[in-house]
Amino acid sequence: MQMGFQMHMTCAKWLAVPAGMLGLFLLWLPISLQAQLVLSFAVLGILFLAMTRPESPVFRLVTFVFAAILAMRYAFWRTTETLPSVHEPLNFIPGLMLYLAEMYCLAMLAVSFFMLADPVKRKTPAPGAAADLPTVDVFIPSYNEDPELLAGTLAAAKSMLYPRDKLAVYLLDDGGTEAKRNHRDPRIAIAAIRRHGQLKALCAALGVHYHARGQNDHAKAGNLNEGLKVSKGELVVVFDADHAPVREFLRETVGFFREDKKLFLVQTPHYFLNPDPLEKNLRTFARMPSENEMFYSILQRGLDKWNASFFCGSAAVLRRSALAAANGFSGQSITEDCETALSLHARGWHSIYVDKPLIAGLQPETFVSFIGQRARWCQGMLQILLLNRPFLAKGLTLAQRVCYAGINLFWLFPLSRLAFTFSPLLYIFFSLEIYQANIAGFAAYAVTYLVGSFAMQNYLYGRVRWPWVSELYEYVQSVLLFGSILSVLRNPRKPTFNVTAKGQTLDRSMLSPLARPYFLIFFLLLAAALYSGYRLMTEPVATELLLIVAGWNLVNLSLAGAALGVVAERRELRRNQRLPVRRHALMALAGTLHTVVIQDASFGGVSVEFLENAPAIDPENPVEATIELRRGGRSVSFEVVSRSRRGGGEGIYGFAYRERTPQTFIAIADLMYADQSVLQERLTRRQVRCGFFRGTARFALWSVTETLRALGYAAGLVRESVVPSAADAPIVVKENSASIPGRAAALPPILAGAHVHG
Amino acid sequence: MAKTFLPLLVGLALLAASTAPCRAVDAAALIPFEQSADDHTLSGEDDEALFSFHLDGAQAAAGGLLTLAYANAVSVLPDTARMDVEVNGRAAGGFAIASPGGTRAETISVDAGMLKPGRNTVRLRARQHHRVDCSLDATYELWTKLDPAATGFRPAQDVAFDDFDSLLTVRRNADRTDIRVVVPGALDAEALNIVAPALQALVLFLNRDDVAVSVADRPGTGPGIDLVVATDRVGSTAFAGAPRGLSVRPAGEAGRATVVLRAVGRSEANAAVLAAVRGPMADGLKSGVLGAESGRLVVEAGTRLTLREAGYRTRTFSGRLSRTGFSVEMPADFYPAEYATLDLHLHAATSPGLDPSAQLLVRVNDRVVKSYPFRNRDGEQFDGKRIELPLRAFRPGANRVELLAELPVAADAACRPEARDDARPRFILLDTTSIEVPALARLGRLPDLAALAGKAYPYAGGKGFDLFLDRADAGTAAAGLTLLSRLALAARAPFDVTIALGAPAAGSSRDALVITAQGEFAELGAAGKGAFPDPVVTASISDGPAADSAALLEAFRSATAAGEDDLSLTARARLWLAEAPRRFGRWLNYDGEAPAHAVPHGEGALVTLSQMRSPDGLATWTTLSAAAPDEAEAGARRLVEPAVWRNLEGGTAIVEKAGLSVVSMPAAERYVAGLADRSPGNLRRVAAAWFSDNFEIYVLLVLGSLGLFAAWLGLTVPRKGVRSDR
Repeated sequence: MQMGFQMHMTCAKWLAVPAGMLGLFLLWLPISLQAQLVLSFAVLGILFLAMTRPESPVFRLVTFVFAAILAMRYAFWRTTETLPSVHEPLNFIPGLMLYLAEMYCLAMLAVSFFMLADPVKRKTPAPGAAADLPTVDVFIPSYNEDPELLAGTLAAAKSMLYPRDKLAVYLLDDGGTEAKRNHRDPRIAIAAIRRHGQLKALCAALGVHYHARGQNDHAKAGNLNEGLKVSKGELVVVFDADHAPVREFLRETVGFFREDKKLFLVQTPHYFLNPDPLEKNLRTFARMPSENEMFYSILQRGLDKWNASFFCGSAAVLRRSALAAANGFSGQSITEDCETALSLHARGWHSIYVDKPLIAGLQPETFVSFIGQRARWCQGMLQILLLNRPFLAKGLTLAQRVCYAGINLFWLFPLSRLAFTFSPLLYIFFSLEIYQANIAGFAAYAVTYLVGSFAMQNYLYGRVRWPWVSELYEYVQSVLLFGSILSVLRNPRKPTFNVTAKGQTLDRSMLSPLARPYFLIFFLLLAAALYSGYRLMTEPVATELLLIVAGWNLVNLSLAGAALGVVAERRELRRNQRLPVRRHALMALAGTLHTVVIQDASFGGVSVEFLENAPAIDPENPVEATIELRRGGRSVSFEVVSRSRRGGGEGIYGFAYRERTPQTFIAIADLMYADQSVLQERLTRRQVRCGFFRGTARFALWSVTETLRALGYAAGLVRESVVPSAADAPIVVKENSASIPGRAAALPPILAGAHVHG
Repeated sequence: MAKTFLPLLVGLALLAASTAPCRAVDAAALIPFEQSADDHTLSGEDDEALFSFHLDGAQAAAGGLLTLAYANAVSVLPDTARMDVEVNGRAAGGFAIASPGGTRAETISVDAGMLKPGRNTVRLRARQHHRVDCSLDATYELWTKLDPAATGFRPAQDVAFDDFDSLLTVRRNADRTDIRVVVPGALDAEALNIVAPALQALVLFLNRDDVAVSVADRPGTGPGIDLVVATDRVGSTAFAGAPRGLSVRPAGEAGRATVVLRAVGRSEANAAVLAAVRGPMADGLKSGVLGAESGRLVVEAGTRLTLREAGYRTRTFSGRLSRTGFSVEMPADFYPAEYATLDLHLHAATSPGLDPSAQLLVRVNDRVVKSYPFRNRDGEQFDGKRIELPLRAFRPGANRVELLAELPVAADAACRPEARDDARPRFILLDTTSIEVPALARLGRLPDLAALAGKAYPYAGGKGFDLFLDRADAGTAAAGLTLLSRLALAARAPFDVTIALGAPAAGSSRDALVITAQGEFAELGAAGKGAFPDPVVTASISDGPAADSAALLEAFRSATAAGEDDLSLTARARLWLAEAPRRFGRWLNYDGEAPAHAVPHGEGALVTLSQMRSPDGLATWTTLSAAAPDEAEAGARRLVEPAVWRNLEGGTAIVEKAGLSVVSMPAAERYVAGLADRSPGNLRRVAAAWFSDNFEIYVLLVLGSLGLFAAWLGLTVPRKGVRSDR
């Protein structure tokens, strides 16, 4: 049976490959517009038909191939018919740049089709008998994160389900290294010494190893390598300081290592509790899928197919022997994670990606820190591209080369995005004809290609990305990443590691300090839009080209308008991100035992709903209570103090932890991270497709309202009252009576963003 | 035999009378310009025309008078209209254009220093403006016509027809250069075969495109040339004294020359022609048919030719509509489609102050194919600005390309002739403006009368072919020889042709030109019997009045329809929507070449010229059918008229009896007549062109081949990498 199938496939190959070559020959014929138009409609028809069955690999590949037909026809036409003459350098040079930007996008499209040919959904294997489980070291590298943030992560890591004797947790503190403690600047030295002492005490109370190395060499990679030296577990787990794992983390990942001896990595997605600046400022966090879901729920699965899913720096399990073979974590670039994976893939090791959110973390809240993080990714990925040359790297399969080159090249998007933004201006203001087309040609080639590519976007990413959101993310990053790219290209070894600031608050709405270029570009595009309108009205021979270009500029203007909303920061008072847990618990309040449901929990407190006989709680006079949770026969309890009455549902009250001891953190970890399905459910709830027209309408609305809001901020029209907020309870480490003050709203908003490491 | 001529001559005389010039001067000794009557018009605000005439050494040394007899349009403003004359590149004077009432002759004396033996050139430049109307359209009403019969060079010394070169000065007879083939005795194929090479050589030597050949057993009358076959077999005593071979002598009548071919058999006749071509005719051929012709660019793939090579000279233009025309002669087996564009590299400049609606229009074969707005109001300079012209607008053979620069200024709206400033140019078109021909798809596809008329395809190229006459009479022979002469001129070379009586036989791979004057052969190969010309096509292509009902209805509609501006917005939108599908359908069909079937020679047709594949598919037959020999001859004459010949296209051309209007019909389907270039590049271009014409097949092939490939990928990919097919 198998033999017969094999033979059929071989026969089919002899038929299909020549057919493909014939098709390619036909696609590269300079045919008439009429032929092209009929072809485009026929192809679009089949494309839409094939899209109706996304689960079938045959239909999926038919979709890809037919979308590729449109793209290739467009590329062929663009190359052979629309470029300006070389003899007109004023047209030709910008024309060529725009052309290269488009060809880059087409190349990325081709790579993405390859990556997404057949995404893998992994099934978790059974972990095996407890005695056979490998020993696991958990590394939590830290640089300047708050002890409170670390306490939660450490507690959650410590609470993971795994045999006690096989799990060791390490806090690798780079903020308390010898070098820092002995810094020339006494203020830095004192801060480091204090941090060292506090964290050491916290770790001791939680049963976690604290380690601070001598020097801050090689940033995060150096820190992790130091961790490898002081530990000896078979597997190594890395969590960023803010990435708290759920209890099942190891159960879902470790089993893979038993099945494949050459496996070096099991990566899991990064799930975020808080919105990024775009989500926060456009208020989409509750409804719209997050930006990184496209990467984690689609791209990594696609990469996994080609054994090219890569290490993302956290929420991953690695094999120590593999790391040892590669001399630990690589630190040449500032994205050590991808570089490490590349070097291990090149040595023949395998990777696996598990598409289940198993950690919850934070992402940068302010636009400044967001851009800082993206600049690091961008520069690091380009460093890998320039220094490691993944496409030529020895030891990789062809598929891996394509994947790595693709993910690194992706970070050149700012160049193409800016080319798309500015090239219409050349025509509108200076009549430079850098894209030579008439409206019929544009309709037959470009419009059909655009329709096809929007349909493909929706087909591939519709669940995790709404229309125009990719473009908006690209645009807001492009403006500031352009300089980062130039700096890497000039000197690939120059960029240094920046730690992304997380958990910041903003006590009033204001423009981001980085907003100025966005306003400049917006007004430039606005002027172009007005001028193109004027030209269309007054020029008797207004060309078709002007119509195309004016429309294109309008799209850019909408992007720039919506981007103003992104850089107009709404205030963020919440210090602690809540996770809806809906856990049943008992609350002892003034001698009465109440049955309650904990609606949501954070590292600052909980929301409690009284199911019956809600007590009268006066927000002015805080009352204390004790909450008791039960799970698996064990009981966990912690003390809380009432803070507020929460709006909405009947009888829901906010409580803060009265004090936060290591045990409180264990309880919080239990409360928040006992169940992976909470994260999964939150993720799935937002993964709703938004059709092209609805998405476009929403985007158009944004571009109007957000522009107005940003202009309002710029004009100083923010009317906000100060909201009083109580500080979080201090962290109390009983054993040595150390007390670490909790964070309070009085802290000034940190806008400076990242600090240079080391 | 001459009787059959009479109706024709009468007809032609009538035709000529309609434009009969007023013979103000005695033209007896005039040496005419070699260019045909059609080229004697200068139109628009600023036009140039190039002429040539031949002088022998003595005539050149003596000097003479250039005589220009002209009439101009009434709308030309006399105060400013002017004609400038140049002889051999040197200014020879000029005159005011002021003869709206009738023909007026201007003479300009040209001294010997400006002349040279051989072909001399005259360049005329007419600048004329409209009396009252400043619109762009009004410039089309401006013209000055020279009377070809009364225009020419009057030498101090009379012409004597004593050598071949003197034949170049032969005058026209009713606007035609008359060549009479005189075959004494009974007409047979052998006699025609003997005379054919001499006739072709003579026509090529004359290099005139208005030659009409007649056949008779005695010489003709009036200006012209008699080509007399003096074979010893027949024993024509009149020319017994002539030397063996080809020789020239005056005929009995003034203005008429006799060329005597004295030879026995075809081989001697051929040798005689060869000797003449190598000897006394050589210079004339070199400076004539083999030389560059003004206004024409003969292109090959990959060539780049400037306007200078078409005879254009840079000049500034201060009018409203600059028109520059030239002819681009494409290869005969050129396959027009969208695989490439023919690039015009514009070297020009506009002056400041032009209206924003100023633009350059490029017309190819009378259709606007490209417009380029002159957007810059401060004046703009173009150094080789590329303007892409669609290849589909071109056809094999001659193509008329016109560059129209519309150059209105704000002051034109007021239209005060006195305010016009001719010193202030609006536009300059440099003679370095060039066209660049891309690599072309080369596939001979027939029937194609355009390729036949422009390049004598498929008869040119040295491959022998047969000329069949269905009967041996003067009319049929004249029709055959007229066509043959014109084709030789198109091919710029004589043919290896064998003339035979009868009809072509199947099974021969030789191409054939068939003249049938009995209305029988016409049925051969006609596919759709009873299919009549599509009235719409007839109406649109015919240059006669559209008399059928559909055209009448259309004309009525357009006359009574409200102007677009009067309509409400919704009515206009509705109109547009109603029109859209039709327009889209036409566009998809490459602007409506409605296929028609080969039409049998029918009622109302004088002659039908059609091309078809021989029944066995080995050869191409081009057939001229008529009901009677005199009709064949008259039809052939009509067909070779420069204006008609130039516009031949499609698979069939019909000369209608009524008004002698000519209708071209597209071919029902074409067949491949030759693929000379089998290089991969050419095959790819041919494939692109063919698939563009047959895009249903293209689309199906793409969908099929790539669908198959995609399905295979869909089965293969899950089995590669991490297997997901389990």
